[in-house]
Amino acid sequence: MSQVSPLSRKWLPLLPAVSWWAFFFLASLLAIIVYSFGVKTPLTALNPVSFDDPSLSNYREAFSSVYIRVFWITLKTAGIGTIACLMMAFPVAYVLATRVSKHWRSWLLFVIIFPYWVSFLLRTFAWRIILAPEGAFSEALQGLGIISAPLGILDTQMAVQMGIIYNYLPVAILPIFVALERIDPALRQASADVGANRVTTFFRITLPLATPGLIGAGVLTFILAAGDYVVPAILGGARGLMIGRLIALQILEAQNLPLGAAMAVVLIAALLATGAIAGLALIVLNWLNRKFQGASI
Amino acid sequence: MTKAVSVRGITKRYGKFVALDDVSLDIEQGEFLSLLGPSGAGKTTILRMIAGFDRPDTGEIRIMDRNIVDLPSHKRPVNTVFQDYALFPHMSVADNVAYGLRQDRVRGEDRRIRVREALDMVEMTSMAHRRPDELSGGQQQRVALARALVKRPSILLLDEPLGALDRRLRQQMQIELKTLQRETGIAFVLVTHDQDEALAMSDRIVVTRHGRIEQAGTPSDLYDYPRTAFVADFMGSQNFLFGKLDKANKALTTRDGVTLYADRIEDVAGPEALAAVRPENTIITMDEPSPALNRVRGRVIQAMHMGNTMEYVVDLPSGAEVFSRQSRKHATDIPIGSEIWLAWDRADTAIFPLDDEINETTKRSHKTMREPA
Repeated sequence: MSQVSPLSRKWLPLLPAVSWWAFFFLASLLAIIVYSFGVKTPLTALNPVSFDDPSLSNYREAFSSVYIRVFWITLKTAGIGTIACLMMAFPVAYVLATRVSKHWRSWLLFVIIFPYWVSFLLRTFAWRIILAPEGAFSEALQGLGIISAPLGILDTQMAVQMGIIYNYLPVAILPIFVALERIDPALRQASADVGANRVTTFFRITLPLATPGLIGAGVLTFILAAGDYVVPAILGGARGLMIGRLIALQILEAQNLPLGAAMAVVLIAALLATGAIAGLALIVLNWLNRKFQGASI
Repeated sequence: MTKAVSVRGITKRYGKFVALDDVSLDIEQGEFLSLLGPSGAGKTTILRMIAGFDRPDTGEIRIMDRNIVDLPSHKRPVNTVFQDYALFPHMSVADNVAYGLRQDRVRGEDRRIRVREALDMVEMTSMAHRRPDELSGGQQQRVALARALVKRPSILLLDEPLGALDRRLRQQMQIELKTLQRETGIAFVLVTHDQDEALAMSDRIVVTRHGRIEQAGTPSDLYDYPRTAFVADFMGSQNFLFGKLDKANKALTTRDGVTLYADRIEDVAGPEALAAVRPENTIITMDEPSPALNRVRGRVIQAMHMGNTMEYVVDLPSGAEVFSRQSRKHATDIPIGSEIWLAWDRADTAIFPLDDEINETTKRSHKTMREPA
């Protein structure tokens, strides 16, 4: 007789997702960490990576000044992209959640995620047409006298930045929208009722209550943007580099799996560190705010 | 004396729907006034306009003799207790109460004293550091009251504040609200659809219907002298019998051919009208009652035990039904199927004009049996 204890029955429905996740995420993460300590073998060798003599040499190389610069550019591009996305997403989410009727809301949300129905690659390639120096957009700007020379953005870091913002804007809108929509409109009325003007109500009621959504949107956008390698590959040319692109190059083209793995591990660590710093900053800000406001009782 | 609030001819339309139709209303200082009516009658709209959340299409609202229609809600000397309390979930109880004082730049010790006073008033001081989601419904209700009262408004608006509480707690809060209102001397304006709540707490009740004021008066006025069948029906249970009117004799002949006399006859236009009597004003007897009383013959078809009273449904030959409530103290219970006499005093009889929404009491209109929830 097989006896399933109530506890295991309770968690049983999680099994498919957890096993899937364990295999494809945890196992591959573990593999990457293991590979990062390996050594690249000559092309003639049977196995592309040797673990005979595990070393930190890959990490030494990953931390060389060239790569550090790319890490920095990556974090900067992702950081600026995240801030730009949040700043543009918030007003959209706010209007959607508070000013638009329920009926129009679903339609507008559909419009916002509509670009995702087109392949990511295709959409990014489309930006090459838009940004091309001899393209229609460039000529229109010149015709209007806004710029004097053909548009020189394509294949630079600027193009990567624009592509990143474009691609992750909807990702930023949705969590913020969900957070704002869950705020009872009566709370804003209650705030006005006891004497707070619109600005105070926004900063004391709406914004704090939307913070979980903002953090969610920020983390999601930042992680996706920092790991992106398609946008720099398509729009960045030789000058627009991000670490995701370099990792892909190391693993797929240079056949240097250990170095690519080490760089991936460093990227993960850098993302975690950024997250921790941002979280800490938030806690400090919150504490300062309470200190400044003074006790209520 | 200056009116706390003076509403003059306000009208509000939402598309084709007329939410308020030329409503005028005065609220005295220090008075407990209830806006009573079924949902969609416009009572909440009036409240939201006084608070500043809605704007009338036409008309004027004066608070302490100052027209405030163009004043945004955060500048009005009015505070609101919201239906679901609308406490700020990210703030402690004390921070919720202090929030309004911060807007007035009340600082330091002054603010702490006033927050404490407000929390003391609703006996929530011991919960000052809790978050709203750690409180029961009744406790949240008290915090909402403290948050509004700490501002020392001249008018406190309450939007169905007791709707979410269970019966026992609701009755307790009714007493507390009434006490609080007397002690503070602030004008309370309560929106409710519960006539018992309105009767229990108010100095004055305004019954609204279809965006108009149906009748206004003290609880006794409305209960004893309703001017329309609607108000009579809304203020507790009521039996209605349809019939032909004999205006000169203040009499109405029912479909059974029985003539009923009334001391009071409201403004009836047509030849037909409704005679009304409350279930508690009827008596059931086996013997023929005095002809000085209004009396009908009928058969008991249903009996319900209500504790200290019995509620009987009496079927008349025409098919109309009359509900009768008898004290169990002096009368023995009457078995179902008994042929009986129902009698009541002329003074307890009123004659009202016909009403689209009020029918002769029958099986289908059991709503007149509505008991206090």
